[in-house]
Amino acid sequence: MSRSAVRKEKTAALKVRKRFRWKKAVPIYLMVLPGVIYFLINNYLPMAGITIAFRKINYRDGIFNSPFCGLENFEFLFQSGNIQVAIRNTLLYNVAFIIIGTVFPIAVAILFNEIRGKLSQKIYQTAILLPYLMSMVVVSYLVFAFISADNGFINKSILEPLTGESVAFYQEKAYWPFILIFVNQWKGIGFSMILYFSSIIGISPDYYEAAKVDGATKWQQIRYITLPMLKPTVITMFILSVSKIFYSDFGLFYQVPRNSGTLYEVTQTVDTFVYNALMNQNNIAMSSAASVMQAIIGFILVVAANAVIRKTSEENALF
Amino acid sequence: MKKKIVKRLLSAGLVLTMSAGLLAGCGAGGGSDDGNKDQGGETGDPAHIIVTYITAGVDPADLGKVQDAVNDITIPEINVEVEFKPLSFTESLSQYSMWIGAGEQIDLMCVAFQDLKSYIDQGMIDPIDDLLASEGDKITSLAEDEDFPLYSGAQFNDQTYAVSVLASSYGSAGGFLMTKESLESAGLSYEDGDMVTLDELTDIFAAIKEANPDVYPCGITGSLPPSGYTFPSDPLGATAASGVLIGLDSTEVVDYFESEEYYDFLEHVRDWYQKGYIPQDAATTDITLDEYMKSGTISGYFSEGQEGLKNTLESNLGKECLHLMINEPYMKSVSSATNVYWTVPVTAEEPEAAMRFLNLLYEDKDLLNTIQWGIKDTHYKVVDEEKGLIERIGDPTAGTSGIGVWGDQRMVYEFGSSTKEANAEWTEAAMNNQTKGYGFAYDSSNMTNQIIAVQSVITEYQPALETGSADLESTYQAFIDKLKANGIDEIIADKQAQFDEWLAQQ
Repeated sequence: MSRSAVRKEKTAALKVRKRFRWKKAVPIYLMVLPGVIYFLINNYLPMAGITIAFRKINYRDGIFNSPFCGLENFEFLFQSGNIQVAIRNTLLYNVAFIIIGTVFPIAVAILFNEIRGKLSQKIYQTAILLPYLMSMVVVSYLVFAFISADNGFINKSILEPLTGESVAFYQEKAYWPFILIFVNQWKGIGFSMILYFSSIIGISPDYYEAAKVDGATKWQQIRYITLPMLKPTVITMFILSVSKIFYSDFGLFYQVPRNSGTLYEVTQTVDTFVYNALMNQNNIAMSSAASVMQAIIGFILVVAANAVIRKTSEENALF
Repeated sequence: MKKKIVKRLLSAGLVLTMSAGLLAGCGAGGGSDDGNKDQGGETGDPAHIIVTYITAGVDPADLGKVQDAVNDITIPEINVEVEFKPLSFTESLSQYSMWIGAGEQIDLMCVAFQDLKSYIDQGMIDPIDDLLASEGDKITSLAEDEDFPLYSGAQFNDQTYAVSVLASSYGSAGGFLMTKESLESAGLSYEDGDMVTLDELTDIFAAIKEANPDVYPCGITGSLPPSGYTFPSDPLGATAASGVLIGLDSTEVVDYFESEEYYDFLEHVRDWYQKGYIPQDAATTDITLDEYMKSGTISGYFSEGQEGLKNTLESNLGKECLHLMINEPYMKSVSSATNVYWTVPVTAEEPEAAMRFLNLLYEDKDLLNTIQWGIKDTHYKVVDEEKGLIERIGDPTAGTSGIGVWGDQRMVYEFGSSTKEANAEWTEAAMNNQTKGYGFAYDSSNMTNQIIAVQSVITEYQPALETGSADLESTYQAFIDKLKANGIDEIIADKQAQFDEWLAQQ
């Protein structure tokens, strides 16, 4: 048999396989179709709006006929000085959320693993997950009920009887980094705990039994078995959070501080900045400039974080 | 086998058509019936126009019936079919640009207590000179022959962009509106209209607080900063973000927030707040002053001082109220009473019909009262036709929102007692007390970006400062520094230059 004949046979075989694949693939593609359409409409179509950031918008001419103005909107965005604060807040809060949001849920998940009673485990799990199911608006009123200056629980029932003085929480910047991080953890810990908890359950009991036979203490078991086995989950969660490091939970930063102006320095994030610029100042140009910047930097950060992960442990990288 | 394939094809086709139908449904909402296009005439099918309807937050339950009653008048009269688009006053601050940006049909839009100029600068509304000439005979005669300031603050570059409501009185002032019983409980006797200073108010608040420890005597909320009611100032047809004249004799544009008068007010408010005269959540609350008043949490609030405001509050509360005045009525360059503008947005599909309807609002008493108070004998009954007094039937908010943004307010019925005389006196007093800027309107188009930046600083600090909730010394200094960093001085210089030029021409 000559070489070319072999090649021919091979390509023929390939062709057959290809056709065969297509036949199988079509229904699957059809199944994907609604999702693709959704993403096209919801995530790709609005991208045309990026053009707004580079134009001097005039409603009479419409979006695509307004004159271009180069980077003027971006210049103005940075000139006014508020966006820097918003960027700083977004990044710092997210770093705090990532660190605290990794340590605490893992700790709680390990504790959960030690609960033996099935009923009590169910009760605790429901209790800790409940806040995750609440809307941020509801949460904001819960927080308000605690710290309001007129009727707040902390002021009326704790501070005033003890010290005779009350604290105007919605005017005092100092408390808010703590309040926001606390609320975020309180609300989110149940959900991330379950993610880690499910990984822990998945660890084979053989390891622990072997460790016990070797005389490992509880702490040693955690330190040398549980935590290393959790590493892939932690890394995946880390990449997911890093990819969102330039985005913030709008509800948390807008609803919970009740959009109080005096707190902007510690509560305003890129998202609330965009919202305020758009809704309170009717400033389409500046808010879209801020969004575009947010998208670009967010994209760079995802790629960068993934590159770092790929270098350190390749099998855990997303792409 | 074949049957199966046919069946499958059929079901696939069904799915496709159904999803196509779904997608098409998304787009069909905005479609308009082109068959109804008004050809400029008053014959044929009635032109369908969409008019914004400002509410206080709740859409009136019977608005649909009121709309039908309005159409019973407008269709035979001017061949226009009106559709109201209700939205709350606070929504109107942000919603309009969304609607216009999305190309939604709005033929007549009420821009109330907002910066009209920004709508013009961003090309959201069209000039209406041609429409006024062809369809607005009543409006032009009121404005030109009778000299009512209907276009005041709405004319730029020889073009008219809006018509303001014809107010029942003109002129601004400042006062404190409170219940009579709160004063009596504190053993104080004041008459309606008595003049007081801020220091006297401090004493009054102290007395009321002592007599009623559970009541906050001074109602302020962060969403309605009250400083403007405590000393005369004139923002020259724009907002305080671009500087003001302070007092009646000044021709110097100054930073409102840096002025002595403003700081003096802040000192008082801070004092009141610390002494517990002001609700402690004032800066961030979303409760309105009227709701506070109804629940008895507060016993009074700052107000502009017109008789009508007092009557409205009295009828809402069922209690006697009075105004303590802080300054006399005076006339700004653009009166705050006229800061309610009717505009024709660029997305209007029936501008001629919209103008015919707007014109009729200044002409037809029945139409006006239907929009303002609802259907006669269902929502209100006339008590005294001559004085124009009515009584409302049942829930006063069922039919209409009763907000006076429509047409010629002199023709609108009142309830309680007539304010015609008081309003005439008010207007006359104000006309004798004009600021030096009377008749001038600042054109802010060169400073749009700076004004937006300064405005955002103001919205950041004003609620906390003017409710007294924030530490005065540190917060105030940060506020002033930030205003300067965002270019308020540059805007003020620009305004002063325009104003000087205008003064020289006078």
